[in-house]
Amino acid sequence: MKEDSELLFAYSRRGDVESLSALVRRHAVWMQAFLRGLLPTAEDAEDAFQETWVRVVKSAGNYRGGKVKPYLAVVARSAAIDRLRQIGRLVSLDVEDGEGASAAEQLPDESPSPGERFESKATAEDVREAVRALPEGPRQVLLMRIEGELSFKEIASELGVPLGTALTWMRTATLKLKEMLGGSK
Amino acid sequence: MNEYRDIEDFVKGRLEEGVASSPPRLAEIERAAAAESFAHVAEHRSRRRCTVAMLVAASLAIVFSFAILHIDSSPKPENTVACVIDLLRTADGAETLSATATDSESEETAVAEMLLAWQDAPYESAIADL
Repeated sequence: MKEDSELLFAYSRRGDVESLSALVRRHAVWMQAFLRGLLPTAEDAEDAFQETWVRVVKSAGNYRGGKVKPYLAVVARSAAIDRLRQIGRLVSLDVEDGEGASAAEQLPDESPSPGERFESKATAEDVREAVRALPEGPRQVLLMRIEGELSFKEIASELGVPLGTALTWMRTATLKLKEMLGGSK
Repeated sequence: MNEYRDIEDFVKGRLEEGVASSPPRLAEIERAAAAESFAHVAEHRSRRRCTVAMLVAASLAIVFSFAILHIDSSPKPENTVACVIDLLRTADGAETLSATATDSESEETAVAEMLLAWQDAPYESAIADL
């Protein structure tokens, strides 16, 4: 199986549209899940999905190698942010707006421990609802981490926040999801 | 396994559950890709040509620099005269000078002619001419 970078190079250097289609198919599932977590409706997610790939296609000539999936996640997030702006649902990622470190510090100390196992009977729709209910910062960090597979350093850089804030937001997201989804054990 | 990782895996699994594996609007994406592909290929070829041209130019510059260096390092006429005097002091100096003078076509002709004349002249008169 060809690497992602080979497929992208095949398209950008030889104009091989079939390679690009293979790349779209390979990344379709996680990217749709990522966008549906960031956007309010499935239609918005579909629009953002198409917009993401149009942007990738337009900037493919500038691709010089490197990990493709995190790059796609960054482009997808940018397309989602523009979509939120269009529909007037964009919320600031201001660290001081109560979602940052200070809010996380107020959470009860229910940190998951290595010995415990998380179990839940929550359905896919329950999880989507729970993710969409998260504050903007923690939600974006969570999705970029678990779907886009970006490092915390990359996430912090992408969001323009300190590394500590990105880590705190991830902890906030995890604890809130545990609280929201763990009840249905 | 850490419970953090448990939650992450659970959420990821549920988020991806029921998501269509066939990408939405693939045909539209492919159309956009086909429209842009010509521009990308042309840009890539142009960039490659530029790189080749720059490499050729750099190679020529290096060769030219070596040539200039070689010419500059050849003996100067005044140095040649000093060498002549030294060589004339030895027994076979005249023969060596003759060979050197005939070989150095690009050297100053006047110097070469003078060397040939000195071959037949006695050592004292050659010094006097200088």
